[in-house]
This record gives sequence, structure tokens and C-alpha cells, in this order.
Amino acid sequence: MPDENGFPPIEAFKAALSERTAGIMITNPEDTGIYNPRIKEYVDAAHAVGALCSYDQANANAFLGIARAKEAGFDMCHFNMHKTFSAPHGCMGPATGAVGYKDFLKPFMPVPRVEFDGRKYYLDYNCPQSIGKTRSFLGNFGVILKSYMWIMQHGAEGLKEAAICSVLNNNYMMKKLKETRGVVMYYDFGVGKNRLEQVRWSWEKLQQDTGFGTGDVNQRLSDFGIQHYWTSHHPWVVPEPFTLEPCESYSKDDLDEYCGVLAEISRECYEEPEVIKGAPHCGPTHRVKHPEINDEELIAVTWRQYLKKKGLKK
Amino acid sequence: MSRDRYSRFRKFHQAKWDEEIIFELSVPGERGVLVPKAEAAVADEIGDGVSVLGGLKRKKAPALPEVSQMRVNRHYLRLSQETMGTDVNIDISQGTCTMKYSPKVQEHLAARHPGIVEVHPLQDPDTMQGVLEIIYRTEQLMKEISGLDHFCFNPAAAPTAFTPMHQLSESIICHGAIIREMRLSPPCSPIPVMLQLPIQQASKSSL
Repeated sequence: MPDENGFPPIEAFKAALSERTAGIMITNPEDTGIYNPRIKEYVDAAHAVGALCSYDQANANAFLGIARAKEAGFDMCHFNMHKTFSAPHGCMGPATGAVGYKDFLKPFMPVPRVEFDGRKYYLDYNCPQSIGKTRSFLGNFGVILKSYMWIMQHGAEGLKEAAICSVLNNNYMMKKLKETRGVVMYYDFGVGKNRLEQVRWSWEKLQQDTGFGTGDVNQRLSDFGIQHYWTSHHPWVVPEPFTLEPCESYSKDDLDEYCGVLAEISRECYEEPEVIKGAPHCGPTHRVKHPEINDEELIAVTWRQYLKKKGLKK
Repeated sequence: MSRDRYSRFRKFHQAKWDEEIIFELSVPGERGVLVPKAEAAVADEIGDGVSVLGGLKRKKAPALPEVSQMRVNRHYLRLSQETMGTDVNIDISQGTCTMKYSPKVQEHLAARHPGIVEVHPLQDPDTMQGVLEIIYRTEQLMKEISGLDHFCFNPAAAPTAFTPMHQLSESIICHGAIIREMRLSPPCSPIPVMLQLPIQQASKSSL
């Protein structure tokens, strides 16, 4: 579990390392939005036992053009092009991961590789130690193209500007949301006082005061024309979590609207509990009963299953 | 001058069509596309054309919905009105997903430009130099942004994180050790993911 600062405890980390450790993968900044300033110590410790280090750059929007995997000592890294480089997520469909390698790992990269011989581009399958294909054909080319366009539209300075703007937007929201009744910001001291591009918030106080937790607030959110928020990966290290990331695309007016809606929902939790209990009121569906989406006996993903499980089979 | 976002809220209300499942809309005999029947003279000469299949011929017709074009169109437009996509709402909610604006000009090029949409991945690489050049150039950009030496763009979605994991294990295997124990935790968790080698195989890799 993370230490009091929200970081992987360095001593526990070192204790878990041994010559049996093949490699580590680590995210920085964490989903808490806290950048681990000691990241190189973790990397060095892993390297000291012969392990490889891979950098999960899911939160790269915080440091585009500012910090690089190389300087932190990583051997591999990956970007989510459908996040950081603007391509749509496409409902878990057409996403693309850009996986980066240091030179000594090149023999193991997936095939085919796109190479240039000075005259023309070609596909190189001649990599006997490659891990093989990880995707049919060339992957999701449309996502690569959109990312390429986005980077070229912005240029080097533009990428840096996007990172700075996303961090400033987040810190503006932090200031507003800290004033919202029932909201708690974990690790709000030391390094954790400054967040990068996102914060994993908590409705812990709201739940203690009113009995309404993050799930209840989430149900009400869509009544204001805002889609449900992301809570957290499990385990919930931060209780009653919700994770907000106001990246560079959003204006002050957008940020204010979002914070205003959360303040209003908080007020309702304290003063008009019936509104929360019945939410959402303005959506096409009411609360989805969890058994129906989790219970194998009730799930129907095909028409045939639906007929069978509903006892309608002709 | 924008309104006070802390006191005046949108009177949002989403469409609620209570739409049927498309299979429930099926009317026997209804068709979206009418396929012409074989001319009588052709049928007389050839027969039904499928009896040669013998026992392979399916006994029952597939249970596909029989629905007109107009009804299909209305059905999916109604469903689309019940969704809440990133282009209609303030998508700050999806923290960790970086829901930034996706410029629409990108979509025009990626989804409509004949030089892109008409390329088939199995055609000769010599005839898709433009596509390969874009991939190559994107790799050069990623190298500069990260400082690492090579990039691949093959993994999609979940394999994005899995590929480096797989890579770690495969790279070590190639150096004579076997990975038996994998300690995994979810991506982006505050706990680093570790791959552990069994003790007896702990000969140091040259990596």
C-alpha cells in the first residue's frame, strides 16, 4: 500500500526487489496527480538488481515537453495516443499504445517495424528475437494519423503549453473544489500539496455527514448534462473516490460549470436528500441494478441468451 | 458574459425513447434491401443452387431482425440520443482518461481521405508509402518527446500496457531465464507492477 505521501514506500519497494526481479512498471504522476520526485531512486534500485524499468505514461499530459522517460532512466515506456495525443477513445475500440524502447531492446520489439532505407519505407519482419505480432497488420493506423496531426498542429512549444495549461486548469479546480462541502483531498501536504494534471478526490466527509457517497453523487451528475465520473481503480486507496482531469481543452467557464454542479449536488446531499435518492431524474435510464450487470444468470449479450434467460425461448 | 455557474444550472433533460431491442422490431417478411430474384430462365436451368450443399445446408434461417431501412435509421438515432458522448458534455469526469478535444479535421482526413481509407493493409508496401511515412515520422516525434530510441504503434487499448509487460518477460526469457511468477496490479495503481523470476533461474541476465 502507498505510504503517507501516496508513494510506493521506497524501503518496501527495495525489500521486494531481488535478483529474481525481471522488471517493474510504474506510473508517474500517479492517478492522485502527485508526481513522485524520487522516481529515479526506484529506477536505480530496480536496475541495481538487473531488472528492466518500464514507464506507464498514462498521465503524460502533465509533462509533455517538460520531462522525459530517458532522463528518469527508464528502459521502456508507453503513451496512450487516444489520451495524450487527442485521438478519440472510441469506447475501448480504436485505441493505440505507442511503446518505446531503448536501443538494446530493439531486437525484441513487435513486428513488423516500419523502416526507411533512405529511398523508400518498408516493413521489416526480420527480427528473430521479436515477441512477434501484437496486433493484426499495422495496428490502428487512424489513431496514429490523428496523433501525428495533433503533434504537428501544436509543435514543440504547443505540446509544452498543453501540459502547462492542463496543470494550471487542475490547480484552479483544486482551489474551487477544496471549498466544496464534503470534499476531501488526500495527501494534501508536502509534495502532495502541488498536483499536476488531475486529482483523485474523496467524498469521505460527505459520506460521514450525510450517508451519501461517491456512487450517489455520480448518479445525480448526469441530471446536469455531465457524464458520470471515474471513481478509481481497485483497491480504493482513497475512500469514496472520484477522479477529475480538466485537461487543456476546457475553458474557465467549463471549469466553473463543473465545480458549480458538484457544489450544488453537495448542497442537495446535505439539504435535499430526496433529490439524491431518486437520481437520476432526467436520464433515459434510472439506476442500473448492479445484479443485472454483474450476475452471470442475468447477463444477456446476445438475442438468443436474452430469450433463454427471460424464459421467452420459442 | 457567462452566467453564474454556482447558481444557474442547465435545465438538461435527455431523450428517453424506451426503445425496443431491434430484434423485437422484427416483422416477418419486412426488408431493408430487396434483393432481386433470379430470373425464371436461370432458375429453370440451374435449380435452387443450394441443394448441392446437402447436409451442410442450415436447417433454420439465422434469427436476424427483419426491419425496414427507415425503422433501422430511427432506431439507432433514438439510441444515439440516449448516449452522452465527449462532444456534448464537459468531459472532465473521466480522470486518468485525458478527454481532450479531438479536432474534427483529423476525422475528415482519417475517415474520408481516399489516400487513407482506400489503402488495404495487404497491399504491397511500395504502394502505401504515404501511410508508412506517417508511421515512421510519428516514431521520430515520439522518440524526441520521450528520449527513447525506438517506438512501435501496434498495440491497441489494453495491450498498450500488456505489451511492455510481455516484453519484459520475453526479453528475459531470451537471456536464459524463465519467468514463472507474475505479480500484477492494475495499471495506474499506486503499487508498481513487478515481474519476479524464480530463484533457481536467478542467473543475472546481461540486460
